[in-house]
Amino acid sequence: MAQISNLSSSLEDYLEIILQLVQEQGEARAKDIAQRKSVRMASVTGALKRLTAEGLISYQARESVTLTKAGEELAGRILGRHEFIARFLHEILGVDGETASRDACAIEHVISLESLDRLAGFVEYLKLCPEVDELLISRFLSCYNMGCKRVAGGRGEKPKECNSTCPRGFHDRAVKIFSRKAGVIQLSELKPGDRARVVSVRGSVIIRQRLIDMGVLPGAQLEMQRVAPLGDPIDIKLKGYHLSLRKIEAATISVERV
Amino acid sequence: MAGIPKELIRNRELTVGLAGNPNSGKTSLFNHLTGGFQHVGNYAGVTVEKKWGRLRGPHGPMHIVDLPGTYSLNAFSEEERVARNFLLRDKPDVVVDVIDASNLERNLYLAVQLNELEVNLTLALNMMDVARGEGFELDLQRLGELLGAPAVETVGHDGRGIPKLSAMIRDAGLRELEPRRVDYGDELECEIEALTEMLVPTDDLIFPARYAAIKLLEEDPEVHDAVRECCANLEAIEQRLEEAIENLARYFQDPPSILIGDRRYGFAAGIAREVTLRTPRPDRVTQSERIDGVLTHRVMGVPIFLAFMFGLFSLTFTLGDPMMGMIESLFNWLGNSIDGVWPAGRHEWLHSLIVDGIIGGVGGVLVFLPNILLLFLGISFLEDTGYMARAAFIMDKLMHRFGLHGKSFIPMLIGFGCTIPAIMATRTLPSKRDRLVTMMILPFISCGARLPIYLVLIPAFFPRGWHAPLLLGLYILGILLGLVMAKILGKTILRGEDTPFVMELPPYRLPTRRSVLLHVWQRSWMYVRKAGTIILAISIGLWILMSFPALPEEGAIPNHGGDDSAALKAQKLEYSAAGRIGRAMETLTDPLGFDWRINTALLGALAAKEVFVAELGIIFSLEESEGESLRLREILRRNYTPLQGVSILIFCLLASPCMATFSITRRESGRWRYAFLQWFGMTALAWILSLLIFQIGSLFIT
Repeated sequence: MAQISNLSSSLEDYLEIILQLVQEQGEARAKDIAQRKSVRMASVTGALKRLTAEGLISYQARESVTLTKAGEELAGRILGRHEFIARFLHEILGVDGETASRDACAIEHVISLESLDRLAGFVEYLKLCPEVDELLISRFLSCYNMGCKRVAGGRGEKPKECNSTCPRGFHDRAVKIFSRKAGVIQLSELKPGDRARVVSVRGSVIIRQRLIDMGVLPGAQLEMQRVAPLGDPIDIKLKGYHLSLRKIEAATISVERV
Repeated sequence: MAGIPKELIRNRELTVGLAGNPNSGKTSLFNHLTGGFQHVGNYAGVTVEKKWGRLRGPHGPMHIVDLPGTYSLNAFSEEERVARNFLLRDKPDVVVDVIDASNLERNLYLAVQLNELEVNLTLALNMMDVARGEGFELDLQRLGELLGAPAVETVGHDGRGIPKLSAMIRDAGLRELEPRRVDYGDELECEIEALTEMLVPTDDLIFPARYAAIKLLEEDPEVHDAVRECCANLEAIEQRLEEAIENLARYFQDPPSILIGDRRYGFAAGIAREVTLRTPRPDRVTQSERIDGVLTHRVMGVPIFLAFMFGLFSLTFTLGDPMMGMIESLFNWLGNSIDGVWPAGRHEWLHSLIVDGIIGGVGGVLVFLPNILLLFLGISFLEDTGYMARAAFIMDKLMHRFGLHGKSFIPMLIGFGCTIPAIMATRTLPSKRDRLVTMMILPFISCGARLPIYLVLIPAFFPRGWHAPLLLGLYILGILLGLVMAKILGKTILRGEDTPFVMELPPYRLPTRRSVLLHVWQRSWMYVRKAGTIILAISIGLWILMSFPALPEEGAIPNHGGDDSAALKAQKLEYSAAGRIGRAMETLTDPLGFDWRINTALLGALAAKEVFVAELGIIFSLEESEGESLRLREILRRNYTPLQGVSILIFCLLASPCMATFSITRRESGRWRYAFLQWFGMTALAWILSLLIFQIGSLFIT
């Protein structure tokens, strides 16, 4: 897996910090480096020695660190990579700044050059036409953040919509896919008394249509009531009435407990 | 919609369709509107009923059609197809949507679809009293505005609100209300509009264009077929449709049918919210749920169910038998009276036709009427209370294992009494396929009429200790073969996708006497009328076979009046067509161990199974079958081996369902082919099994 440098991730971080300090304060002192990286001075000294050996910096004890030409170039690329990833997370995906920066620190050291190049190319591509940027990114952000609470048949006026191009059900389906993943189960797995919300309805056309007609739709709230004495059909309550269905049909319905 | 001239409405007999969810109290409303004067009939070629009746009174004559209860209007279920086709083809002047006021959202889902079908809609909010009791309060004025249809509250069981409803139906054509349309959202609306525009130029499309466009996106096969037949620009439409479905499915990650259902439900929910002024507490446990806690209890559910079924069964047969006896003696009396007044020696054949053929044959069927009345009384009661749905809920697992439906259990149970009401009870099954499979295997269940055969044959050939186990064995063999056949049928000719067991468990309700009695009346009358007429024809046919050609005078003992001696009867029978057929059949039945006498008796059993015993009696020159069953057994023992006895028993259990079964299967399945398949299939199976038993048995017993 090709990487920008063959340095350890820790040394890459040192190089990055040195460049940041030079850019910010004009010089990079060992004390400041230790402070920014939250390590002891001894660790910094060791790292600086190794970087010197690599020919990336020149460092004399009690003097400030200067980057060699090779060092400056590599540090620039490492910092650029960090900033690109952090910006991608923050500006395009809407991750908050601090998390974005912390994640960037982790990702930057392990991501392959190939993936990184592709990602950067993709971002460049998005910039080609501003509409795409507008359509894709800002709408994605608004859909993801707000969700869509469409209220049909409101009194008199047009139904309130957060954004008409935001697909209904998108929020239920697409937000926090990973952080809630563990909660999505089949309807047939619920225990009597469990309450759940429908996430998706699959199954053959006939079964699906029947379920739709009975109100088993994404977002619908239901409560598992009981299992038949012989153990098969189950009885669920939704929209104020009782519905019985076989477990095999219930298995086509994904729900999350509420 | 509106636009029928006023005068026309005042003077014309309106056609009114009654639609609504199952369990919305539609039927009781229908009975109130028509005063119970109604005609039940099959709807062109399909087995789902469409009932109609007439309303007289101050609001003029109206023709009211009770449509099957449906939740939606798709082409995936039989009931929904019938309802939709009626609405589209018969174009009723007004459609009344009967809505269960305590379950507004789901009921409005149908109302929204009725609006999309562009019918002239009137809403009847039924069971308003129950809804109020539960804590609902609704704004009907507002509901009417939103749906563009006037709404009136009704109470089905005591008829409150009916006069107002009929007045509203009468004025329906004068309305100018515009229903609010469901907004399916930008993406869907765009596709709906595009497809609608493509559909508009064709006027021979039976569906409204917008409706058709929506249904195309929902992948409704019937609408697709209609479009295929009518539209010149079919190719363009299909291409657009295909792309639309693909794009929408990709964009929304769900097929359009889910989106459309979702929007429609959202719309219905919005309206429901807006017109509901007061709702009960959502977490309240209803009375009905408490009852279910007992009746469908994990442990108690099955015993309670069995107890109910036992009750139903014993009600039918213990209470029914004395009444059966009464009807039997009535027919005997009728026959004897005719004998008494018939001038001796005049038109002997006509006398015989009336007494033996018609009175004997029709009487033999009508004799079951008390059983049927009682059975349907029980079933109607269980159905109206809502327990039948629980019975299906409890039994489904067992039944499903054999490819049947939970509701198949009840007809099978009834089948121990008589196959005829059992086949009629399959009407409670939701899908046509489940109904057919159940219907086809019902004759495997040993009915009451087969019991006399077993009771004569088993003791004739076997020692006392074997009687009960053999009898039980025959019953069990029938059940097992029936279940296996159900499985086989379901995998072969009646193959189809497993019908979903997605069934509402309606709240328990106390049935009204009126509705139970009406149910009983409707079903029993159908039995009397339909089964009666066909039976009449078959009885005459069999009588002809058994009476002609007549024995030449010179070969016979001279007879006096109608009092043939038994020996003469046997002689006549042997000479008749039936006797000759019996002989001719020997080539076929010889490997089974039957001779012509058994064959002729079997021929008689075609009409009704119990005739077999009577026929044997006649053939062996006995006076009466019942009083002489001891002697008959002795004669049988002398004439046949126990192995032949077993072969005959198996054959009688399985072969040739009686003619009444044949005709009712034809009637209820709507197709001759199922009746023929059932008859020939069972006869073939009987032949093969008897053959195997007799031939293999012969190897061991020599």
